[in-house]
Amino acid sequence: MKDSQKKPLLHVVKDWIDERTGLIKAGAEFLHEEIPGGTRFSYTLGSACMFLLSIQIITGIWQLFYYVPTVDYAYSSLNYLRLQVPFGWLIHGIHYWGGTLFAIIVGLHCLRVFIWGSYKKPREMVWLVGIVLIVLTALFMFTGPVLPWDKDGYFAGQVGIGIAGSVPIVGPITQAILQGANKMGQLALLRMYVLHVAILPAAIGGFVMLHLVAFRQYGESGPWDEKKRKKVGYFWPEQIFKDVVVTFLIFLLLVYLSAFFPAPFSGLADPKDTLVSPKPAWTFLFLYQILKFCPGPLEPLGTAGVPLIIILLFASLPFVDKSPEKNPFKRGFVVLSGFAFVGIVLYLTWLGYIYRSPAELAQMEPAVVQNVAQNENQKLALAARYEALVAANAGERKTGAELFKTLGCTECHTTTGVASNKQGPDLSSTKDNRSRQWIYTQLISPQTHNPHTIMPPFAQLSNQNVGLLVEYIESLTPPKTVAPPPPAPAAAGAPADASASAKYGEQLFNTVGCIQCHTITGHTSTKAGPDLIMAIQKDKPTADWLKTQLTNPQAHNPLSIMPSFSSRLTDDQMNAVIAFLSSLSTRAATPLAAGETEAAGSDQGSTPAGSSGQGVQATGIIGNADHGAILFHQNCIMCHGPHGNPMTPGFTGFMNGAPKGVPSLNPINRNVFNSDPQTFVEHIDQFIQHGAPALEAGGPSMPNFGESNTLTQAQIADLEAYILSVNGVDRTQIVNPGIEPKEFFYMLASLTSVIVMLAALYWFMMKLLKI
Amino acid sequence: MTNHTPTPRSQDPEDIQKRDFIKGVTAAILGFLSLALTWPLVSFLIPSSNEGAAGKFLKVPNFPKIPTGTPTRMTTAEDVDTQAFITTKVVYDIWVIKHAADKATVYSTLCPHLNCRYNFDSTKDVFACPCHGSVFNEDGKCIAGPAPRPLDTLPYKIEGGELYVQYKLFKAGIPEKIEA
Repeated sequence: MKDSQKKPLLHVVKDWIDERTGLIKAGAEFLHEEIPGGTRFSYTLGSACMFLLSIQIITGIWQLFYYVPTVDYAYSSLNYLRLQVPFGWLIHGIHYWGGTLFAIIVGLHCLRVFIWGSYKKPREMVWLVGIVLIVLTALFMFTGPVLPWDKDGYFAGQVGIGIAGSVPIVGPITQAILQGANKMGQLALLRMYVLHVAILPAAIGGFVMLHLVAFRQYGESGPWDEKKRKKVGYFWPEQIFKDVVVTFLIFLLLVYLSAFFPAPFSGLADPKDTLVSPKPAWTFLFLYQILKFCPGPLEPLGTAGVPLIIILLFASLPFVDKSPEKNPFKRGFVVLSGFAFVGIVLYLTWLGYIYRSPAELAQMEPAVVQNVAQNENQKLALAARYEALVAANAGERKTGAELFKTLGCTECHTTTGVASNKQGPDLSSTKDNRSRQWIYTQLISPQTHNPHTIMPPFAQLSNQNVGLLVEYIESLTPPKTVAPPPPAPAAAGAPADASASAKYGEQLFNTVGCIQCHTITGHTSTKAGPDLIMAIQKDKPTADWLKTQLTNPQAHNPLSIMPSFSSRLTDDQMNAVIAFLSSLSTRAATPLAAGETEAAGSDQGSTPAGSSGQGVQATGIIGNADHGAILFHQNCIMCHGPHGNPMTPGFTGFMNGAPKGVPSLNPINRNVFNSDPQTFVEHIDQFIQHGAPALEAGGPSMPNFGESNTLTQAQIADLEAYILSVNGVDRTQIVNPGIEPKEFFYMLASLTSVIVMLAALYWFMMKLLKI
Repeated sequence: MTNHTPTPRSQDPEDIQKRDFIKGVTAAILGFLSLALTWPLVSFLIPSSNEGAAGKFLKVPNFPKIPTGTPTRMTTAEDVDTQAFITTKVVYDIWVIKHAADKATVYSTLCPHLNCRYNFDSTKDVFACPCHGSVFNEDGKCIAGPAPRPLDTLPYKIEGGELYVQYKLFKAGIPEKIEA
């Protein structure tokens, strides 16, 4: 230290630190490792794992800046991160593909060590710690996909936790700890989250240190051929150079995959969804497939036995295969068994990958869907369900009448005994004398009776509620005194009694479809149109203005979605409706019921009365267009036609002839269309949530799928994504990419080639010109 | 940490040159990799400019009912604050001095020194900040303490007798009134 004054400052600082910590010396020692037999690219797999682990930690932490681990917001927060945050697509993409690549490279690393015989004495601990790391990796791959709370992750998590629960003895308590509640929900999500971002990273960090320390005790085992071992290579810089090259190529691959093959948007998790066939992450597909060979009492063998046997087999390898021989050609039995194991795992993974459940196959072949509904077995199953239901409902308080009103049945059906111009028949008619069971089937699967019916299935209702509705509908009989049809006003002029006319107008208002979009309560509503007490008292329109609005709404507002009523109201009826509307200028607002709050203006405008229980509305969810296509086939095709085009040649809809006045969704009205996916979705959302009146007299009206809970918000989001897709708009379009994914990849790739070319140029100049 | 004595590395100038070349390329690749990662990681954290943008004029209920001349702490009507994918309802508090039915002064409740909430001392008719002792008169002028500028007034309008205020935040601790 005498001559420390002469040293450059950097060295002084270095020496000062080293004297007190020994870090620099330890670092130098770490770098100056000798590698028997020289450096190799096949030795880079371990470093590649280290790189991937580091990048998973960085991108994982970064996602925590936006990710919210609640069932309401997990999916939306991740979608926001992926579509609206600069480079969110890249951070998430790298994490998504990094996990996959990590599993592959850990597998290759393990295989390399196996072939080289590097698990043998004295390196048994490295091998054993490696097995712990593989188990931790599996736990990462299990907990991670649950976090987006999308359809794939939700069901994979549910099944995975269920499998943990089926293990003998320790299963139930494991399941309770993993799930935190008696079913998959908020607590399960938080537990998966804490495992994935806190407990498992801490554990893997510790075991990786142990793995490295144990490895460096004896270093690389080198080639099995004694002659080749004589040559000596060095960790720094030769092996590190190879490691860095491979690492960089992996990074480029990650960017490529993120840009060209983004993770799917599988749609918000929806516990009621019956269309999803849960499948685990691809790393578990071989176990998933093995489970199929273990029916009934053998199940615990598949769920717990096989994984345990595999782990024990791996762990015992260095103790069973004790000979010091490392040459794989002289360890025929062990190496061949190893390859057989890999082969079986790959084959089972493939089988698991291509496996499609019968339900999925049915979705792929649309025609099958209807056949399934008409299947005799299904009818029997429905009948059995009905019997159970009747038993369960015995003695229940009857609120079927309330349900009938609140679920939206009145949008299409009357119960007055008078034929109406609504879509559905009057239900008090006893003409057809339907059985309870028939009504039950009609409610939950109307297509069973008529494949072309426009009626939406109410399969989402609880058994009890369906039962109440069945009882209510069954109890309906035509009223003894049928209300006389409203008196046709004298052709000569307006009726003398203005209030009678207004009363007739109110009847018309309630039957021709106005109430589908408007309320008359004096409070802001969630329907598509304004509340008419509020609007009329505010704007005080004249009778002429109202008449124009009824006959040609677009004259006042070219973008109005209100249909013209000129073809379905006679002049007298029109006048009656106008008289009714004018009378609203003096009508007081109806008092709000207890617990009811005023809808808070346009900001919450799309909140339906009863949401699916998920706090997020469909417009805030990135739907899954493929899933939406199936839902479209089940709920919309009877009116809107194949792929949303009612003009499709040969399509006849639910009636004889093409449905009247049904708007085409493909292509959709230009006023509704928007190239911005969010705006587009907001335009179509209100129709799906709240329904809309028929555009032409005698044509079908749009049911209120959201308001009636016929579809969940998650399903509506999927349908909306599908409708956007047939109009050429991608719901998953990246709003704020930072740099466009593909451009970013091309940029990185070209800069890389520049660096490679410069290095090559320098090398040649050095070699050839001896500079 | 290996058990045998290290083999000395070749000191042949050509080998050294080759080693240095490899070191250089390794450093270049690592540097490029770090840049390619750092750039997205930093961009990811920079908020977009419209996050939490300035709001609209909010009604201040009960303005017609408050006394003239006395500073009154009031609350605006509900506003929505949308950050990322979550929209929350917020209200803001403000100090209002009503001069007439159509004239008022509206102050932000935050002290321009370090954003503490100050109070009105009705015995001395001054605004006094409890944190660091700044004192302001009813005109907003700082008459004691460390505050670098007068109280921050907020834009308002009075329509049909009702007060509407546009809520804003200003940078604390500097003599200029600049929106935060």
